[in-house]
Amino acid sequence: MNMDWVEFGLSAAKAFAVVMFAMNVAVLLTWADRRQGAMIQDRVGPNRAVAWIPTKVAQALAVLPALGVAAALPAYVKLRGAELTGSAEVGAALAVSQLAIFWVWMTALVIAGRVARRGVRNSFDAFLAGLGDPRRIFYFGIGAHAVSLALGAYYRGTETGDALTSVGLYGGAAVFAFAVLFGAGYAAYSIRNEPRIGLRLVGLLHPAADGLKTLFKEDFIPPRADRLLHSLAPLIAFFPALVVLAVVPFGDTLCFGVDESGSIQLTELMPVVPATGVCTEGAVPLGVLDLNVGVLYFFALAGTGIVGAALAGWASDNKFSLLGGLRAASQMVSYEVTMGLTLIGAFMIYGTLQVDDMIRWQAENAWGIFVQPFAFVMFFAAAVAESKRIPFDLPEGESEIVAGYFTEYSGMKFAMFFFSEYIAVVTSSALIAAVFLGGWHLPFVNRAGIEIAIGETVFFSQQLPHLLVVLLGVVGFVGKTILLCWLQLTIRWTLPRFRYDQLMKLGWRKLLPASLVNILATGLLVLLVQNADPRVEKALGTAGDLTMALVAIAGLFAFVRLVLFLLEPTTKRRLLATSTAQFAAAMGGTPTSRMQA
Amino acid sequence: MSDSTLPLGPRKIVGKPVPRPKRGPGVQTYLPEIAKGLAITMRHFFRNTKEMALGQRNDPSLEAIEDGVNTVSYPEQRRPYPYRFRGVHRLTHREDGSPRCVACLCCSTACPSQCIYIEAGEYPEGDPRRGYERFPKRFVIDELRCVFCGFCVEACPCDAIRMDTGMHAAPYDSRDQFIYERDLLMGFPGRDGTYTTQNPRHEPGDPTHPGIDRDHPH
Amino acid sequence: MPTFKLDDREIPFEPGDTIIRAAHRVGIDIPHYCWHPGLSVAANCRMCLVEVEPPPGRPALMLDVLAWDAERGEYVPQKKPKLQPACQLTAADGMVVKSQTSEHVKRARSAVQELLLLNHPVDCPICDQAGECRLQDYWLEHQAHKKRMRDEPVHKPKAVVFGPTIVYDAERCIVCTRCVRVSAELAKDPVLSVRERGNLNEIVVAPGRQLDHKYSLMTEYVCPVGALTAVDFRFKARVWFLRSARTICVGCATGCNSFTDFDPRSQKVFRYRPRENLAVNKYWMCDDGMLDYRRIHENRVLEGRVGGEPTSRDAAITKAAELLTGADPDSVAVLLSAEHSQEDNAALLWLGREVLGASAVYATGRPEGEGDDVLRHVDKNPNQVGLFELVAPGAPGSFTDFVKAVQSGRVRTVVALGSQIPEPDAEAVLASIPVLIALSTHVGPLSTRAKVVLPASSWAEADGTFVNAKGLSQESEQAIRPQGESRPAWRLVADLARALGQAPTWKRTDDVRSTFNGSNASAAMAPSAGVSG
Repeated sequence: MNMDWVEFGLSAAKAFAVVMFAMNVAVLLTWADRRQGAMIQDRVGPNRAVAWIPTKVAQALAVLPALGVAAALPAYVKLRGAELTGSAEVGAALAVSQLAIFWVWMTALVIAGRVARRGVRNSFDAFLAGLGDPRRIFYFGIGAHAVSLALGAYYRGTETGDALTSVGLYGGAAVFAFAVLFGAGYAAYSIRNEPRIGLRLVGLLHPAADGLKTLFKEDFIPPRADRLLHSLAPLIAFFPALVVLAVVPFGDTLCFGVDESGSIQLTELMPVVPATGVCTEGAVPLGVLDLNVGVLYFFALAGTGIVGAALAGWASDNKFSLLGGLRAASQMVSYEVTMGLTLIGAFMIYGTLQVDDMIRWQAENAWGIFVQPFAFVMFFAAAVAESKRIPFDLPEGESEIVAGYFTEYSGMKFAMFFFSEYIAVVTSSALIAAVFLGGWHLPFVNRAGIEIAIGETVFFSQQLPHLLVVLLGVVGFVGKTILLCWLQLTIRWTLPRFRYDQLMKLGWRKLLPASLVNILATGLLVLLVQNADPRVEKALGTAGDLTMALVAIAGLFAFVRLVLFLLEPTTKRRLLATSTAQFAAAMGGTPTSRMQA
Repeated sequence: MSDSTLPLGPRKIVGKPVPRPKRGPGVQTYLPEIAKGLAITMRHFFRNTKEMALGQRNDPSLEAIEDGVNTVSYPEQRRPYPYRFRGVHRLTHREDGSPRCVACLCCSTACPSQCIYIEAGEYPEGDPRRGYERFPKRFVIDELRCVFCGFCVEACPCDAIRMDTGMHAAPYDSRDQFIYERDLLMGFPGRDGTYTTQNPRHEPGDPTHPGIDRDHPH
Repeated sequence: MPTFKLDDREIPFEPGDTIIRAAHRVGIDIPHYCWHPGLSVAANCRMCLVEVEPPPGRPALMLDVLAWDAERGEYVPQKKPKLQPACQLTAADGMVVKSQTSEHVKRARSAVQELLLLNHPVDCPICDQAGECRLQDYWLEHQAHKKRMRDEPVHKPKAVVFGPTIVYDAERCIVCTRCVRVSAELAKDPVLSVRERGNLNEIVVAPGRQLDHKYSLMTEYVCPVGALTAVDFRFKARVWFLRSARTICVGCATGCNSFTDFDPRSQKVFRYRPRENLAVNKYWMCDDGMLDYRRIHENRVLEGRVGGEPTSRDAAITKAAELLTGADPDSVAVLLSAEHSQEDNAALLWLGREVLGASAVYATGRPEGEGDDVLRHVDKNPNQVGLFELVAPGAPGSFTDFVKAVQSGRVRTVVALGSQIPEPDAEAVLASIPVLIALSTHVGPLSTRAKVVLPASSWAEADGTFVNAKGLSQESEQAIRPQGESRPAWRLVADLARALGQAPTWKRTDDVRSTFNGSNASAAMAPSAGVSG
């Protein structure tokens, strides 16, 4: 392969991005697993880690970025506003004005919430409290959005419309800058009397502190253990989990301009690209490796992880470790088979092993979850089993074999096993997102922009800049991955552990035959569709578009539902039956703590 | 089938038919049940997260019966202890500051965890209580073994040991530090801040005291 | 045998028995304070009152009393039978006695109990009798209601020192006069008496005297309440923590039966109590014997010694075996000890005769002391007679013979049991023995002069058999575990024999016992009747 320095740098950057993505999400997951897992049990999880920062620094941290943002947007509008014309100007005005309205009511709402909790302290607080229920601010904000949109639509193309566009653009920028500065200033002002400010980040510092702690913990190796293999095992378990992400693209291909020699000009990004196809020159795929064996690479490396667990069990010189290692090995080998076979149906439909091509197929037709629903469920189950987590955590079943294959591990080596589990969660989620949930593809977003269309009928169409489209894709991919990770965590919080025979039965007697049947059925279907007449193909295309609409509507519905849920009032009953409660009531309730949600 | 119709000879064992739990395809495929479980989990999660984020979480003392997060964030938040809370022991004082305890060993006898060790001593020559009473030369409580049942307080005939300090057992980093000696136990005040108790005690010299002998009644 | 009826139960008695004694013999407890089976009858506590039905054809002796009628709110005349003290009433054939079944008796006991506690300070927490106090037991069992007197109780002397061993608390005293009678009847030294009357009476020592006779601790022992307390035991322990072993006092050749009270947690012995054995000591022990328990913990040899230097037991045994190997059997002698049990002596005798091939057997023990005609024997060794039984036919050579044999150079290697010698002047001779191996419990002439000392357990740490001066063989139970590195002497002998290459056939106490018990079958646990009186 003829690779020049630019491509090499890009590859390194992509690899770095992927690794950082996996590691950081894994850290987030360790946090979520404890912190949010506690929340489902009606208790607050570990969130005690705190970094104390001086009040002045905290005030600066609040105000300086706000100053930057407040200066940047008006400056951008001022500089580029004149260049914009026509619909671009209208779009920019719309965006800026909506942003300004959103920021205003959001700032007011946050401050009102705080005032409601800790009482009125100054005249602005009094003004907010005078508005009554903070929900009114939200309703007012929604109203403002609606009115501004309606005005914009009504006066579109008229003189007044042009005036409104200018007002939206410049006034919006000014209002936004003011709102940002006011919010930051209010925050800085309200903490002025605090001796110091605790940075808690909703408990996110806790996994960081835990990680730091494990570094300094005793590194214990059993006296009769195999020292080399004992130390090697965590690495073998850790790295395969990390590197499998290389074949999963995290975004659509970027198209750059090229110079005469054919090398990429990073400064010249295509403004807008065609809806389909990929540029032939200057293409930068957003995946570390685009292997033609694709998913097979994933299986190959995921299979290596077994070696780590088995080695750890063997090298520890401990019967519990050995049992755990054996369990891990047999479990992972069993589910490896199912994983592979369930994907074959998908391969047949997509006609490729390359993950990027799979995503493109899904973008053009329908997401994998709709064409291979059974495969999705089975692959998901097998992937959870592969990561050795509840309900499949028999290799470390503490009620039976202490801690399984990592019984004899401590400190950072233990943390590596622990962490590799979470990385396995991230990578498997990423793969599932890519193979079944359309990867970086979002419904009705193609390479050219947004196009809402069912079959031949186009409802709405809007061109978007190339960079924005790709960024949307990356965000979509990350969002899907995190959603799937979170689903895996939820499963962990919900289900009890299987018995070992049940585990084996599920793998060999249920999932394996079911996946074989799935292959057969898929094969038949593919044959049928290939030999069907064009009308059927067209109907299938429409059906695919409908699935996209379904996803979009479901997402919208979930969002609205969430907002309504947040607006729901909470009522609490007080019961002063015990002397403890009476004491506490006499003192005005239990003192509030500095805990964060 | 009634007993009278049973044939002669060894009786046939008739089992009581127990209906098998109905397990339809929904249960057998796991998936709907898993979905139900996930729904419960998520309901809790979203409700609790919202209440925490919006500052609507329960007061763990006043609203403890409510659903939702009832965690007490201990050092910052403290639940007041109820009146009859049994905390760390204290040895009550007499008016002169000596322990009320007479080393009768009733507490160590009653103690189910055998965490009280007492060495009785005799008052020195010249003390009016010499030959008449004894005092605890050593009074040791292993707070780590103690199960805080309060039997010692019940058993004490002199109101000399009490658990009304309102303090819970403190965490230490070594076992030795849980061994509370007499002077430490005497150094804890009760919840009312005093080292004595409300119950009167007849001391020599006090008009209510039984007296040492007939010639020196008080 | 004539019988009388007590609460529907036929009680056999011997002519002349009182009701309480006959009941006591069959194990029925008629509550009492002042009566003691070993003392004369005083009948002053009135706790043992019983109702006796009149002989057939004779009217019952009835008393006219006034009883409170709660309904009418006034006293009404009533008749009630005259109750009799069971401790003084001699039993007669066919007599019908009601104790627990009589309402009158129950009321009388409740009233007596209330009366006795009227002026009691109820200072059980600081009273050493608590846990074995009759007042506590009978209050729980018989007193129907609380004390009704609201007045300040009478104050009487407290912590009165009666003598070197006894402290008296008049407020706790119920003036049963047991202590007075013990002094007069057992010790033949009537040093105690009662003064004043009614609620002011108290026990006093005769002017110019102290309670210092040799049976002073028996006054404390018979005291049913906490009035008399022993200086030795005061404030040392609570009785409910103590466990008892049935032992034999090793203070002298009388072989008094005793209870050894020890705390199983600390493995510490706190006191002796007499154990009833009418054939030996009846109900009593002397002060010397009562305080002899201290020797269990004092002055002990608790580790092996070689040449006076402390070492481990095993090292001492190895050294001893080394010294004994190749010794000329004619120059070897074993020195049995009258301080030790039959088991220990039998084991040593076996070692001397079977392993070392020695024919010379001598005896040692503690020197003689003073005696009296009550219990105290001149011979201060518990097992002198047993040695003669062991060695028979023939007799062990006396210690004087042993000294002569050593001085003549005939005996050059000695394996000795015990720590004391009967002739303290002969201690220098011990130093001249080339090889002296002692199995000692205490620091004494033998253990200080020996080349090798093996730590032997005391009598309280092993089961043992002792033959008293009358030839009665009695067993003593193990109370506490062997202290320090010490082991029963017969075990040490077994270890020594094993080190010499000849293991004994016996492994347990019973095995050792069977080696000498074949001819002398009188060894049996003496019957113990629990706490007497």
